[in-house]
Amino acid sequence: MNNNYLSGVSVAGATALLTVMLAAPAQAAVSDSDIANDAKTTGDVVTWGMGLQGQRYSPLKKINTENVKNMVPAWVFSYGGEKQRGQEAQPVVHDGRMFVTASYSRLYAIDAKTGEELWQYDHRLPDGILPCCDVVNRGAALYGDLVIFGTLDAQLVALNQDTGKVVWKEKIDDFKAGYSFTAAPIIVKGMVVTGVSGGEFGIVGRVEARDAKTGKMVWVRPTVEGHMGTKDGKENGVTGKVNATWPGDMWKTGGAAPWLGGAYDADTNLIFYGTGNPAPWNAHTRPGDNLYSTSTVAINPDTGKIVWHYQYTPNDGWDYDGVNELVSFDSGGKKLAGHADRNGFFYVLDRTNGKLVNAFPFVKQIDWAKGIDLKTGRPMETGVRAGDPTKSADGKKGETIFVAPSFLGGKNWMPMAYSPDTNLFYVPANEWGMDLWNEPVTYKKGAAYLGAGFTIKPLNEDYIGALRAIDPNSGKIVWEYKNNAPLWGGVMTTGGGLVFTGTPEGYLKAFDAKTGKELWKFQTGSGVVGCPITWEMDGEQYVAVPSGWGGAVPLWGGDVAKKVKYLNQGGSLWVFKLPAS
Amino acid sequence: MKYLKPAAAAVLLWWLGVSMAQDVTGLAKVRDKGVLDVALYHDFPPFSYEQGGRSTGIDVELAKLIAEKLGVSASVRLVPPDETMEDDLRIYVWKGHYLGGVVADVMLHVPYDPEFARGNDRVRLIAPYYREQIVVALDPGFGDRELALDVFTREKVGVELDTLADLYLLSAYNGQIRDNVVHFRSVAEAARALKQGELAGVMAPRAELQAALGDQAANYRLGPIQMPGLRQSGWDVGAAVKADHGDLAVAVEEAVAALQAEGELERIFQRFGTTYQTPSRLRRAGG
Repeated sequence: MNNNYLSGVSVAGATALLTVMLAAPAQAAVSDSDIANDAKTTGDVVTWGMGLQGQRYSPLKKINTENVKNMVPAWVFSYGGEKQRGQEAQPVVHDGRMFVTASYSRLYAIDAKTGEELWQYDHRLPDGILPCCDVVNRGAALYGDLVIFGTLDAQLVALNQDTGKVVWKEKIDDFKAGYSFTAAPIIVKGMVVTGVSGGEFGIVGRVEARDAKTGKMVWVRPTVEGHMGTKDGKENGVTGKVNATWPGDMWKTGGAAPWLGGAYDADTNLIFYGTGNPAPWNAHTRPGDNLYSTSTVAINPDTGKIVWHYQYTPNDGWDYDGVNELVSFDSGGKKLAGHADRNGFFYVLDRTNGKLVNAFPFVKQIDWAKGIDLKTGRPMETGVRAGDPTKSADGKKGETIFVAPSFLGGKNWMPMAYSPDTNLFYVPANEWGMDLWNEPVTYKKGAAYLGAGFTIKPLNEDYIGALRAIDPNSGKIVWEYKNNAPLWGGVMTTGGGLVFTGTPEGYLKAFDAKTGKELWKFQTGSGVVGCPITWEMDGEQYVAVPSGWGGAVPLWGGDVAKKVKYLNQGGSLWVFKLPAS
Repeated sequence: MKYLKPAAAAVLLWWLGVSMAQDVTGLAKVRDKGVLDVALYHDFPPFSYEQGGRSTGIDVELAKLIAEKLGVSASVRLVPPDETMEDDLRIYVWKGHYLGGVVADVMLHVPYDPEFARGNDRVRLIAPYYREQIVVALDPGFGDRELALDVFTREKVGVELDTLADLYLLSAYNGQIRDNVVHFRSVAEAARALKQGELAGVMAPRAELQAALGDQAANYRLGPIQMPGLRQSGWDVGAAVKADHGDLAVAVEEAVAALQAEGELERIFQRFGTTYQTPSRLRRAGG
């Protein structure tokens, strides 16, 4: 704006104009190339995964192994209110502004330099929602002048980045039917791509792509065989083949919800989404592989069709969701991708075709399978499965089996990182198992039911969590850091040779990426279960992470809950930098 | 006491009275506010559901009559079920949901089962008022012999998704019925498909199935069926209050026993198109 323009208007008018300018500064829009180059550009973080491939690697090296010990807080922002619980988000930052989501479907726009709030959006949640696994939210997507996120009542909301006003709002599904949404959407080719979450039974998973500017649906791809996909409102081919891997009509309610975030690899033009466990929980009732549950599906964003899939746990009987992220990386001239599954195995896939290249354990104890056959790509099961409840439903408690990992997984939702400098994956793992038994005396909605009981148990006295540096070629654990409580936060690695992650005990920690030596830690006041990011602003490198203990562990943890029950909740965003020299 | 001076004794008695008034029990609290808050399942005909914007059903009527016996009015809240009955008791009776929302004074349609009660000591399971049972409604075109499950190794059977009938049939007869199990969102939808001739039968709890078949119930052979290997195909249904609300528990039990003795319970079930079944552990009035 030309300042001379103001000279001719009244003082009152000038003041009004100035107010408008302050309230709505003209900020640069987030473009497709900003998103495509996110992993390389150090001045911003505009997408989930710090780049669509999801490596969570920043080339920044101003903060490095030599000086990280000096890092201090730059500012801290409180989410306020009486609402706390788990803060699992990854913030995004662009053009001097940070956007972070918080528990209970809240979103904050913050001045990235000062930590001052620009605006706050509190999504109004209806009565009668029963989210299964805490009230978390994992982050927002940026596109154009919009910031887009999903809510606990299964809506997708696009807000104006300047004002926080709603630009469009679309219902993903009916929260009354058990649907919810907690993941961070991703933007691919101008489309906002999401899965669906919630609903332990009766739902059918699907990946959806909407026009990011308007919210209008472009394509829908169901993740259970037999279901018709759509594109531009027209039929677009059935997923898989009806009854190929499901008996009877069970595919109609087969589960397999892709409830966590996705990734996109431009080299292969594929979107990767992990899918949840099949329904119902009793695997004996659904003989077959139950595709495409507990799998990664690779979808072409232009066609909305599945190009390949890889299934981690066929006929899942342990509640091992396959939703964990698939992270693209290149090695030895090959286009590969890594995945650390709930079931305890780390998989290396050829990301051009989904063929298994390597698979090995990343936790110390796995009871359900001896290994993964590299020829067939299938697990070699040990037979440690829960019995059929209808075979022992005579009133006696069924036989208890112990199996590791627990259903909370060798690794849960929290994203790992990959460093192209060290060629290592940094995996936030947990060592725990579970007792599983059939419970003949159970009730549901006032009626008798055939249920199962479970208790999660730590495997070691001194630790559950283990941050592990893993070589995807050799399968070797190069180093590990053990943590008393289970790890539940995301990991980040940098060109400065550092690995960052948080602990439920409240610390954000920095490790030497090569040796695992702990170089720095800071107590944030509540458990860190969010995802750290780093970016550069005015010539300085910054690190940000949300703090606020919660998530599934305190709700489901069984014996593990005892280890974490003293931890206090919170809700704040911490930002760090080196002191001015 | 004998060492207390009369004045001190009076003060003590006064103090006891005050502290007892402050430590209000469940029943005193209910009488104080003049309202009995009752949690009932939503979308659960014929027990508790909305019709024309109003709550109705067997459990809704029962809640009103219990409140009446207590000398208060009923405030009915229709709530969604969570994954297990334990969850529902925690959310609606003794603790509340972490998202907020207050607990009710009493919840109806809670199983009355000593074994189940042992694992849920934060609540009192009381006042069994009905016996529910899994039954089959069979289209008479598919055989007129004794009701038996083997017909479903050949013919389609409808169930509500993720219920006992569903999980049982998926495994029964070594899986030979599995491919013929057709899943529906509700018993009402399964009954509709049966009426339209798409199924040979439906397996579901008796009251839900009878009510869903409505005036056509007589066209089907409806009754219990042998379910080999199953611990129980029937269970008593009662109420739940907080464990420390002993006087409220007694008052609700007495109210329900009186309604049973007066024949009122049976009349409500009839009004909603179902046959009343006496619970196996009936608490008799004054007993």
